[in-house]
Amino acid sequence: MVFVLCSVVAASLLSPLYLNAFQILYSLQQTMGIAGILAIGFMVVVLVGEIDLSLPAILAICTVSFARLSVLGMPFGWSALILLALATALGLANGILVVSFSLPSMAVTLGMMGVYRAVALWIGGYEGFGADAFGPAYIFVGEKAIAGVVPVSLLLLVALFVIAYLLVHRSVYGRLLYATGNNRRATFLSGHNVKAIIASTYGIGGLMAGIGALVYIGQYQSARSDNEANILLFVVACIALGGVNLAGGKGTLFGLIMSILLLGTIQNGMGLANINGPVQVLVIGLILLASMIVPLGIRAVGRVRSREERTLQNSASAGSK
Amino acid sequence: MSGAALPDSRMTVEAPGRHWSVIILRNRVIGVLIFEVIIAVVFVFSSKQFLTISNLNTIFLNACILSILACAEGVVIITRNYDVSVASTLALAAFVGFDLIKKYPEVGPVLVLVPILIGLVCGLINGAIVGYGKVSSIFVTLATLSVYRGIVTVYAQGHQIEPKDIGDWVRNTVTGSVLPGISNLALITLAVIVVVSVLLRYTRIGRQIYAIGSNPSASTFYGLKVSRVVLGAYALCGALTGLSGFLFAARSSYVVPWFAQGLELQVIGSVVVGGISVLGGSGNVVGAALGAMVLTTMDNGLILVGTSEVIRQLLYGAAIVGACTFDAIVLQQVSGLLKSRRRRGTRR
Repeated sequence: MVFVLCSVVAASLLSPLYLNAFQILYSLQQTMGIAGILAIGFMVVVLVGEIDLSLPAILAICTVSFARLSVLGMPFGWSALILLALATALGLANGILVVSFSLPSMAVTLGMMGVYRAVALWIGGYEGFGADAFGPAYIFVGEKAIAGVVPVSLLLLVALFVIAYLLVHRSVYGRLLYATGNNRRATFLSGHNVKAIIASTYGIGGLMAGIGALVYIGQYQSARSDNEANILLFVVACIALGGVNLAGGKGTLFGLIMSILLLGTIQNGMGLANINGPVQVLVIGLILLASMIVPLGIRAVGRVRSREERTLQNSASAGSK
Repeated sequence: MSGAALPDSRMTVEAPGRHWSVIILRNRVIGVLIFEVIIAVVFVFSSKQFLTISNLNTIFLNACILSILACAEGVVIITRNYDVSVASTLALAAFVGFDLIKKYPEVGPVLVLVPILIGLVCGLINGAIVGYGKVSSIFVTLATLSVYRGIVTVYAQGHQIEPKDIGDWVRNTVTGSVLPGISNLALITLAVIVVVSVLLRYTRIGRQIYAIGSNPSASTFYGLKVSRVVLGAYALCGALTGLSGFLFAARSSYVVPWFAQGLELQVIGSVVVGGISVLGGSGNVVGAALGAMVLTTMDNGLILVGTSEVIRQLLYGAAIVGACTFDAIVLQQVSGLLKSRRRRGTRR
């Protein structure tokens, strides 16, 4: 929280444009909307100790197939339904592949990332789709703002966070996610279908990628097979910085929200201060590295201190003798 | 009772070593070789240009650099870790190395060491965080992937290295031939593969790498310095990546900041196709090098047959998923066999 405030102050110092309410809302929507939605899905997968690297690729498949459906003249409701079903199915495909052969999720989803990108290229072609491909209903989710101030996508993000909060922290299913992430074997032995739980998290991940695609279409009004190819770093950085244990079983949604706000603010501030793309990527990467190294350092210091205390106690007890 | 049941069970369970899964597991490298021959034969029949001296030469030289990278990645994967930052490390090493060659041409061939050293440092950073920090390797190397790439881009400041910037000796190290008829690139590749496979098979650290990959906690209890060995594996991977960065850049003569972007998918693909298990602890780097050969042959053949780029992109991803699944099925069979053998042993 302190970090967020600091970065807001730093960003407003760097750029005079920063500190106004509309800009903040806009930036929240622009830089954090899609990443936040993907991060929810990613977190659910990470909670059970798995990883899905193919989420951005699923998003790309969704954007191009959404564009195809739009060109075909399908009404928005139907194509959105198809889209979300497709995204869930793609995510579930990963999950079923992983659990049925007990494969390492990292290698499988890395491979599936390549496969899904190729499928997206096949559906969308090299040029992709431009703004003229979409009807007004299609871009409603990402572009429009209610009463001209509150973006629909922001409302959607908040709603998703509430739903995710209820699911992860207030439901039996959520407790099972933590149980599976902490001790898969114990969860299995206490009579739960661990494989189904793990597969379902991939399904949720896929669904989130699908919703992300809806927002993406509205925001950028374009669809190409390489959509959001570089978002994975940002999402992983959000997860790691938010205190979600990458080995599974630990982390809260509140931490994730805080880290998304922080990273989004930093990135937005850098953008306003005219720092170019590669440097932004470098900074986010360094933050991710730091978020992994700093806890280690703290732990190491703690270990040294406890050792010192122990030796102190030992010498004290030796002195008393 | 149990004594009477024993001969029966021994007869029903196939003798160890005869089961198909064990045979496949033991002869994985030969399997990859057979696979290579099969796809080569398919392409010979489907494309006229495939079986020409110049095309075979191209395939071989293209496969060389990927082979070295697969060797490097293979060492890390055997320790049950990943390195997805290879492409960025390669780009960083190649760009900085060639920039120094451009700026200080008078120093000469000693500058070959620069890319290798940069690769080594990158590998050491990865290895230190993964080994000593006990952080999941995929996240660490995902972070360093972007950090290294960011450093190259910042360092380059929009410039690029062009063929006129580098001396002839650089190109000659790759295209020339010390031994008549064999290009230096092939020689270097062969040397790397031999050295790394000897290192893994016959030295103490090599065996420790396998031990850690097949059971990290048992290795710790056995008294192996797991963190140090993992660090060593990453360092070796980094140094080899730096070397292949030099070779890659010398071969193409153009170095841009986004050099070799996305190469990690091909590298991990060749390692997995080459029979190194992603669960760590098994396979060898000769297989990984052959895996690189297989992927390069497929790529080349598919271009000649006229397949669209979509299919070729699909290939690498599908290769990883397919090889993983195949590997897992074989391993499940083998561990099932071992379990049934162990059960018989206890009954006895």
